[in-house]
Amino acid sequence: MPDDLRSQLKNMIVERLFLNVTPEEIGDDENLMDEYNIDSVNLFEIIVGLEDEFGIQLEEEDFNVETFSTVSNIAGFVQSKRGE
Amino acid sequence: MERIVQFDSGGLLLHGILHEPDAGCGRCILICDPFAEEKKCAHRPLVDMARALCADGYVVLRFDYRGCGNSPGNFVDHGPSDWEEDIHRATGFLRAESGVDWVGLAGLRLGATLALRAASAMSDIAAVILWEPILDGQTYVRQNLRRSMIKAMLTDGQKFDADAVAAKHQSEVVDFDGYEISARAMGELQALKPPDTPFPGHALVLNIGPRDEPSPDMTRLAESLPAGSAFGIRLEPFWNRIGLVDTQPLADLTLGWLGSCSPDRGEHA
Repeated sequence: MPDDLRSQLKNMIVERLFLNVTPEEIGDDENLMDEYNIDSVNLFEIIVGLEDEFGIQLEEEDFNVETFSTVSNIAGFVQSKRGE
Repeated sequence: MERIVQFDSGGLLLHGILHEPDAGCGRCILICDPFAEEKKCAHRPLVDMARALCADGYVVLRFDYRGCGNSPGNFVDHGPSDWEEDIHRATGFLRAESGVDWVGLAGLRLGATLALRAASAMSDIAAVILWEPILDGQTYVRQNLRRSMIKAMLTDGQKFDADAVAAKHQSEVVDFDGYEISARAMGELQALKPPDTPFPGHALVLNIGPRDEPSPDMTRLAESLPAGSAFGIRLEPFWNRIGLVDTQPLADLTLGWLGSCSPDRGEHA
């Protein structure tokens, strides 16, 4: 899995959630909901960011808590949606 | 001074709060609310905005659309076309009540798009202030479905059923993020877009979000307006937040822009 995709995701998450951490501080497999208190509002911002900045569109079957729990999982999801 | 006012629209007496400055600057601003959950979250920031404008000499009217807030009517019976008419009526009331001709419309999200549409249809609006307007109703509605999905996903756990959530968006009475609206209102929301006839007066398009520069879409909207300007402001989307966000930077930018507008009343017929 390319590191630059994970870096882009971390940048997007920090920027859109106005987090007081640097993107580099977010671990690839850190549980985002536990570590950064991500709630439904934050998750909405992440999903809008994925659609706006990563060129994917979510379908109903894509809504799964596990998919959005870590940066690695989100990166894998983006790759699969892109057919990579 | 702030006082409760009422005015007629569609046979209903709508509820408003009129902010009157001690020393007026000869201008009025009508504030047009966003919709549903966004209205709830944005209530206090818009009160603060009205007070900031009033402190600068503007007469300001905040009001509730029919079926919303303190205004009469059932939420499920009304929709964007009714609320656009409410903006027309509120504008007339504000002008008559204040005795001031220079009127600007300021709106947030759905309220911004409705304000732009109303201003375009009237010939005597001097300026519009569009805080994060909705540019495409289809996207707005799709994002609302996203929000419903996320809430259900996080709260229902193993019982989460995406098909059931989606079905609520397709019935006669539609679940719009916890608010029941009619299929007609949903159709109007999906069809929502900026007006075909560009508003010719002063227009501020403000993109509120993680970046301090406007998105290409917001820039395009401003460029489609003869006297439009687009700016970006780095500020949390306070209409989506449960906690309070300091919106003073938004008030400062808005007041600065208003100060740069010419005193023309703007008769664009």
